[in-house]
Amino acid sequence: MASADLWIWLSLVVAHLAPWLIGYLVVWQLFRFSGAGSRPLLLGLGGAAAPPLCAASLWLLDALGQPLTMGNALLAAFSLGLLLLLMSHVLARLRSASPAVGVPGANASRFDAWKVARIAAWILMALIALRLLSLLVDVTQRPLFPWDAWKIWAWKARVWFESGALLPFAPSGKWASAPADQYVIEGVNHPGFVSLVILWSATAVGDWNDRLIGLPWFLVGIWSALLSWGILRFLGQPKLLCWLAVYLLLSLPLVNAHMALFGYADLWMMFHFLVFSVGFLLWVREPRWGSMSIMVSAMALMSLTKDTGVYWLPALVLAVLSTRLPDRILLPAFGIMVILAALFVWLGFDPVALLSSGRYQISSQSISEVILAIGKHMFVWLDWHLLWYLMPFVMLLAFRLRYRSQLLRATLLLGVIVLCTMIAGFVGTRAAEYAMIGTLFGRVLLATVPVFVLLLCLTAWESCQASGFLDSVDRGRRI
Amino acid sequence: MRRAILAGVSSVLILWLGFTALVLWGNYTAVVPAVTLAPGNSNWQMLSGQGGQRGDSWAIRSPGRRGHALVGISLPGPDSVEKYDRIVVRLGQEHANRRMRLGWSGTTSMNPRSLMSLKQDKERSAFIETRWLKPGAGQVRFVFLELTGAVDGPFLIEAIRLEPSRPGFAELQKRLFSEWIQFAPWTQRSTNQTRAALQPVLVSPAVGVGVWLLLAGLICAVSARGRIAAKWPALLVLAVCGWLILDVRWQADLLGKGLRTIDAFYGKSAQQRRSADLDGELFGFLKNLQERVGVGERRLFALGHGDYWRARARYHGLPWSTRSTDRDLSHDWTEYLRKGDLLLRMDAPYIKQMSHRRRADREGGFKNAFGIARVVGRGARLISQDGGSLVQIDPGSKELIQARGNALAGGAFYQFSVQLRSVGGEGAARLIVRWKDNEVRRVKAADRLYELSGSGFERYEVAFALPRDQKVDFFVVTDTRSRVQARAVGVESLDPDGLVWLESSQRGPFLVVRPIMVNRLYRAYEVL
Repeated sequence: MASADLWIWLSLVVAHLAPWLIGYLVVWQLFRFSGAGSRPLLLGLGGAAAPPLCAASLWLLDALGQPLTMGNALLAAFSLGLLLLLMSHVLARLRSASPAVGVPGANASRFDAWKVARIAAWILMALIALRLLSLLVDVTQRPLFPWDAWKIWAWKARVWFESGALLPFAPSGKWASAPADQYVIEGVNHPGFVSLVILWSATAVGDWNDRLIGLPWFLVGIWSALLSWGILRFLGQPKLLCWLAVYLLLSLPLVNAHMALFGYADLWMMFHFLVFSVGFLLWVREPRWGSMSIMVSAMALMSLTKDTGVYWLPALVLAVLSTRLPDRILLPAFGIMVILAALFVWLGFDPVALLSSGRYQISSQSISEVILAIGKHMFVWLDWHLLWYLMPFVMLLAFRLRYRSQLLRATLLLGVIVLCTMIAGFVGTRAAEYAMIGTLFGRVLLATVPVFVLLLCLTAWESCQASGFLDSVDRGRRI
Repeated sequence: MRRAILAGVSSVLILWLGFTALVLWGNYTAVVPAVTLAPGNSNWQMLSGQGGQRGDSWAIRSPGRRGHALVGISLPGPDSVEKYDRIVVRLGQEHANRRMRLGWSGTTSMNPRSLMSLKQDKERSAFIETRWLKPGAGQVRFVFLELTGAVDGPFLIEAIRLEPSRPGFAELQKRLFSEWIQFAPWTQRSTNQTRAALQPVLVSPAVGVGVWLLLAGLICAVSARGRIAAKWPALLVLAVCGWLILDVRWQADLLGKGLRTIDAFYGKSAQQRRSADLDGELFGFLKNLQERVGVGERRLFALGHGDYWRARARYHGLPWSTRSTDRDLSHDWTEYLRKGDLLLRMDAPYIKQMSHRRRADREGGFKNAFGIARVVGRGARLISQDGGSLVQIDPGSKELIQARGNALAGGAFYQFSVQLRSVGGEGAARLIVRWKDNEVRRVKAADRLYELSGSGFERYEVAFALPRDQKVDFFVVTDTRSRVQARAVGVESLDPDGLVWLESSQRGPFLVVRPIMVNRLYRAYEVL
């Protein structure tokens, strides 16, 4: 029994490490980052590339009419990976641009040399390790638990697993009339990406065991940690702040809940938001096709993860464009956009209905009730520790320091646009109901949280440099 | 650093004193939460009599055999009766001096320990005061509401509200401390929100620490006299402390959750884990059902009030194609049922299982014959084709077959069958069985819709139950798309052994089914 269990776990781990390795090689070939933070950054991006590779392999097998076995799936993944490697090699040869280099600034080195910072980093590492170990218990022992996981995401994967093919689903309207060989969707028909990731795990196990499909959710936590650490280090932050970003992200109770109670798509949305933020920061630092391709891939993956993923695209494109504009143009431009939006609504054109294919419309809500409900999510329930208590001060500070760093200004813009989009979306549409009954707002907020964690760390570092704190460190003063 | 410590400690003291004063002498109801038990947010069950959730309320439809209806309601977690002043029942209508009693239980099963008459308050509410109880009434896990006497129309209960009493100083401190170290298990809400405990708490830890941080920051800022920019490390220390306090609490909570998980699932096989889960009984029932009837292509219809249980049946029922609904049995969806479909009746008190008493002295069947020439419907015509007679209807008309039969024996099951084909394309036909009732005219007993392919003749059938000797009308109506032909119409008696019918209303449908498996919570049937 124990050896059988060990064998299953081994095949499961190999089935997830192999695509990660392929993903790592592809992004390494494509981006050729070097210098501080480049390895964790590439590992994180490789992790981001692995699940789409798994999903594409399964889709390809089904399209070719091949059985969905692990051997076939790995073969398809290796073939696709090889193809991507060749393509990335050709692309790398065609491009003459030098690889992006991450260099920790001189100030970061001074900070890293501080004994207190080193001790604090070790403490943070210990706390992160303890958290991951605590979560591993539920990831490995608990059968699939949360509602929509077994109602939507894993249910689809199980249908595909049991039938051995990626069957299409009948719409919910045909619940009574669809014949026995058709499976009927109940609730929202989300895109298949997350279900394919679950199917990959089930295929690796070779049997439907819903205790053993949570590993990708745990890996998302690890990949998020690598990406957060890597990008901040790559951008010249001291190690303590890199560890702080990882700790802040992995200490948030709602992030933990989605790792432990795997099966929802919201952690994947968070991860893709983080991947977008990485591309965004790299692009702000130095506009290159590579960083643009990371952003575009992340936006595509958001759209493939949840039906609401596509709603973020206008906000994210707006954020990218607005980083190019100086303040004197930006603020009037925002003002004009608000006036234009009001005009469209007045004329009866509803961009929300257009974007959501009629699922949501702009409608009047009881604003005080919605705001109260949003307040509960952000400040009363224990989902975010003190993140939203601190965020107004962080944003004010970032606004004050925005001219010191283009990265800080861009991240602040991204954060403000994302937050405004989300609050407007909930206040102005029937999504307000979900906020009021406490079901959706927290999960949407979860997707955006990496932006605010990065903003917090970038602001902390800029204010640290601006306040002359490093001189105190150098002089060995005690605070 | 010293400034940060002073600000931190002084703000803790200020907040603690302020909160204690507010609860002891101020408007404590603003901060001490009441517990509201509504059908939408807690588990309500009929322990005696008939009833169920209707909209946001709980509807009692009829009393049980002893002339009273008893509803059991679970609290989110065990609680102490002494924490509450009054228990108020909010009704959906005026109670008109109905006799109602309220009780509770601290044990883990729903057995009412004592029941006490409710006092009329306003027109739509009644209450008991906990001071009327004997001292040391102790823990409460379940609340019970008993309604005596007949019910004329549904008796609606909107909610039961446990209104808090003003705690004393020691009790308040004990509660503040105990809530801080009280941890909740994972629930279905956990992916949406993280709460400190299952029941409402006095102070959310996030709010407590957040307000403390803001106050301490303010004290720091004021004491810095405008040099706040230089004092940011002190503010940082406070923020880090606040975050760590919340995180240490969350870590302890996570460890507790992990231990619960290990306790429930560690070392168990996949099968044992599922059985050990909340819905283990449903899982076991469906697995046994699949073993009994095979896992081949089937449709399973899960019927019941509870979204959760229906959705779980949909998951555990795989590889069967499971659909679920909380609707009554009505023709708009039962017309799509097919022979061999399975019905899983869960918490569906609105579906009644009925059976005939055997009539050994009488044979079933119909007095008159169903010769094809005698069943031509309006708009159809009798034609001769391939050496036989057929009834044919052209596009544009509907009624292909219409026949009336006089049953030889009521209290029996029958099957109406007809061979049909669609000529020159796809079509659809509906087999309808109808009779006239003494009270309700034209009861549609059975109605089944079939899609017809353009190939040869195929047999289509619908089973029906006949309570009494009656005149029965049989119809085959088609859509107006295509030309449809019929031959060999017949009605035959079914062996009544092991057959029952299901109904939600006396207007039909009366769904003839064969019970396959039953346990205390679930019943499975096969559709005929």
